[in-house]
Amino acid sequence: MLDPYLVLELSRSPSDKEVRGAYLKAVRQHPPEQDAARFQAIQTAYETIKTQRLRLKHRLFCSDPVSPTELLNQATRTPTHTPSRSRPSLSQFQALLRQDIKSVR
Amino acid sequence: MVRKRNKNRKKSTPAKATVEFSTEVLTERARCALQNENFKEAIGHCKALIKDESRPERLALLAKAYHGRARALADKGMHKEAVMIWRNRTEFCATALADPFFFRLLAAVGQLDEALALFNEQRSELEQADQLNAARELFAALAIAGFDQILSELPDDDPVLVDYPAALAALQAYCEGDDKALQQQLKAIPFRSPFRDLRQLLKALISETAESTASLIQRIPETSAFISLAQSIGVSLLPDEALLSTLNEQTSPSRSFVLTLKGWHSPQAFINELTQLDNPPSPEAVIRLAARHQQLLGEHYVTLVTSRLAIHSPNIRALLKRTKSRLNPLPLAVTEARRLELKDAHPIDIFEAWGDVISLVKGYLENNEGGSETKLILALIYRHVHELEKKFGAPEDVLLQSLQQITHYDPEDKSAYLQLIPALRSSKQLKEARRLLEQALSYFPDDMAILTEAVETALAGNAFKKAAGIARQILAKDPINQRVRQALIDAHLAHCRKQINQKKYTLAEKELAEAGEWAKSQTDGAKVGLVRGVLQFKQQDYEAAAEQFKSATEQLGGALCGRFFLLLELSRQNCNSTSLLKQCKLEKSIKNVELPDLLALLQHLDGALQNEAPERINKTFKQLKTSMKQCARLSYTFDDGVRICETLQRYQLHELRQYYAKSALKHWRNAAVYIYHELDAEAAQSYGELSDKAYGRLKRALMRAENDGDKGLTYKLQALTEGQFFNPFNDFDDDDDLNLFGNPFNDVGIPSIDMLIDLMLDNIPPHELKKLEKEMGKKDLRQHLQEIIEAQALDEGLPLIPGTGSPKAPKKPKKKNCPDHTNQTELF
Repeated sequence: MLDPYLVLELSRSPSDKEVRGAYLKAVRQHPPEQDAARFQAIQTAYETIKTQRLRLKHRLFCSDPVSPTELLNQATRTPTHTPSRSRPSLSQFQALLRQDIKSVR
Repeated sequence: MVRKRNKNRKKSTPAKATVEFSTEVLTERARCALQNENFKEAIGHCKALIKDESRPERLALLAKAYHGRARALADKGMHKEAVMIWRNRTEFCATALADPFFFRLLAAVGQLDEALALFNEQRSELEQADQLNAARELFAALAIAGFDQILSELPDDDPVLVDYPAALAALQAYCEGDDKALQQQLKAIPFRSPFRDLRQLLKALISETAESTASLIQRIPETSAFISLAQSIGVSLLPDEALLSTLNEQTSPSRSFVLTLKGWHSPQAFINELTQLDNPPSPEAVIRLAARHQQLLGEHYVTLVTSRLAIHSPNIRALLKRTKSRLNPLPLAVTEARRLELKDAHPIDIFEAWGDVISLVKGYLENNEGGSETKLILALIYRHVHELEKKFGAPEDVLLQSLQQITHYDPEDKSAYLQLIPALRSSKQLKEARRLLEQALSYFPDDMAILTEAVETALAGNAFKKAAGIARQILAKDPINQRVRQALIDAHLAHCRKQINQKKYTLAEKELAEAGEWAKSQTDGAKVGLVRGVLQFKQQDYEAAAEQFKSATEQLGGALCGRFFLLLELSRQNCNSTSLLKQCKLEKSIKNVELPDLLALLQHLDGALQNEAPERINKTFKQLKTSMKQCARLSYTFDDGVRICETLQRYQLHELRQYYAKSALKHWRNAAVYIYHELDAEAAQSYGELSDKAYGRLKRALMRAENDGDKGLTYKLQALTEGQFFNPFNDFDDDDDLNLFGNPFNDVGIPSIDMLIDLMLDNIPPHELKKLEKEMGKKDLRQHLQEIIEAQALDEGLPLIPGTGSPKAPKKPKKKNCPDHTNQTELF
């Protein structure tokens, strides 16, 4: 199962209201007719952590395996990072093009 | 330096080999080698062919082979060697030296000046070969990459120089986020410009959706000088899982470019390490990585990940030490207990581990640590333990204890009330059931399920009017609530019985009419009919009564079912069944029972009759013993047989159960479950005494159950084999540390007589204990046991703390084990 906090883009200690809000937002963004699998993941995530009791249960007893993708999502979702696409610098463009010369094909 | 010649090294011998072949064969071999990308071999064959006779097609073949070889060397990063091969190509095949590929090779070996000079010199040849634009595009990309000599060496009117300012300005505008300036500069780059692919890529980068970005970059050809940019943008669009594996294959500038595009600046170091993990990564590596990047991932998440992975480790503490990570005492204890569960450890070890967790949390609770969550955590742990107890087939009282703990620590757990209240009712603990019901109603006053429990609890306490009142309330809101409808019928019937008993037949009629109004199903109608029959019998209308009984029997699904319900009804109303059957001219025994009839009875027992007193059911079954024994010959399935045995076990009908198990064993020889039922029933009838032969059969059945992976049956057989002394279900509550499997010795190691008496009493089967208490009286029984213990202690020279001979008093709560967590603010 995908990490419910990552699916709903929530902090690790949300309130019931925050979970509900995140769930509604996620459902609006990914309606079932557009992405059925994503919608199912959102539903499952909400059912897993919707109350404090369930959140504590998840924290105490979750034994799901940890995938590298989950770690990546966790590392890239923290509020210190900009979630949207950002722009590389001119030097990054130049480095990439210079690097390309060395891989002549 | 003189290089030593390796004598063992095989010489490459294409030239020598070619001598032996005809030109046709050689040509074919050269083509084959080219096709298989064996360029070195192809060059050898072609050279041999040219040596024989220099023909244009042979030279073209050699040029192709040289080209391929140069590319192969360039792919390996051997740019200098590739340059040499290209020069040989020009020399031997009379092909043009100037080529975008050669310019790129020269740029790679730092001879860009030569490339530019060659470009300027052989511009017309390049144009003829249709390579001029490709060469310009290469110089355009190199100019953007910062190779300034391009700007000084190319003629002023060259499109690279003409469009360069706009291209660079567009790129700078993009990097600075000035989209307006970017759009302006893009317009200044003509359609046929050497920077056209860059323009396309910049458009892709500012497009609003990932789909449009993807479609724009797809238009960049593989041969473009800007292809690396296009590929990196493409990687940034991949879904996370594919992205991670692809990132590992990217060069450092490309990875940095992609991560920046994704907006992942801070976690770059983490992602780099993540991409270098094995696939799938080892738990140890992940824990180590998570511990190192705790600041980035967050403490909560790292704890969660560590415990999720450590569960699978054989030694959690050693793993934490190796990975330089840590877990607070609570997650550590929970992880240890879960680890034991997952590795299918012995139930005693699992329950001990959970006992440690409970003690730990209780310690926090006493010290007011962990905030409001602590009680909830404790309740959740008790819930988990309860589920485990169910899984391992714990006795009812053990299950009740854990449910009580759940409602104590989490009074808002509705499901616990819904499990606990009926269980308390059926174990006749009505006072406790009412207390819990009151507690539940204070949290869920309008909950239908809780109100239904209120109806049934009122019924169990003979508060029929109250039950009917609540039931009507529920049915007003939920008219199709079958359970409440049933409860209401039961309430009226129970009240009717009371009126019959008091010979208030008119009032009884009234109650029956009320019950009849709600009884819509056949079974309910039959139940009403049976009570009506008894009423008619009491009023000496035997003919009408007999008619009622016959019709009810038909409605209930057969002779066995009908007779069972009739006998049960007579038992409820304290009627003599023999005289009733005689007066109503009904047959004394029932014959020719069919399988559906027996199965229907089982269904009633598992459903509507669940709330009936087990003793009454037991008594009714005993009256039907002969018929039930006849039914054992019916050809039921394996599962139905097990269900029958379990039902008989529930009502302590040991003789019948043994009969059925033996009968089933004739069909399914050595089936472990039937051996269990046969011998458990035998043990129950012989006060735990089993023959050596029986023990041998039990042990073999145990092995079979273990092999089949049937845990529930394994533990039941184990318990029986160990003479009922096996019980992993400790009461984790330290307030009551006296249990059969705990230490009966006090803190100083000397046993107290009271403890030992309690221990012995707990060991006596309940029905036997009841019998003994009836015969001897509770006080005398304890006195008798005390004498036995004292005599034995005297014989063996053991010290004893004198007893009072009175039942055990509740112990004072013990000081809980409190871990060292002085700096800990949270439990996790």
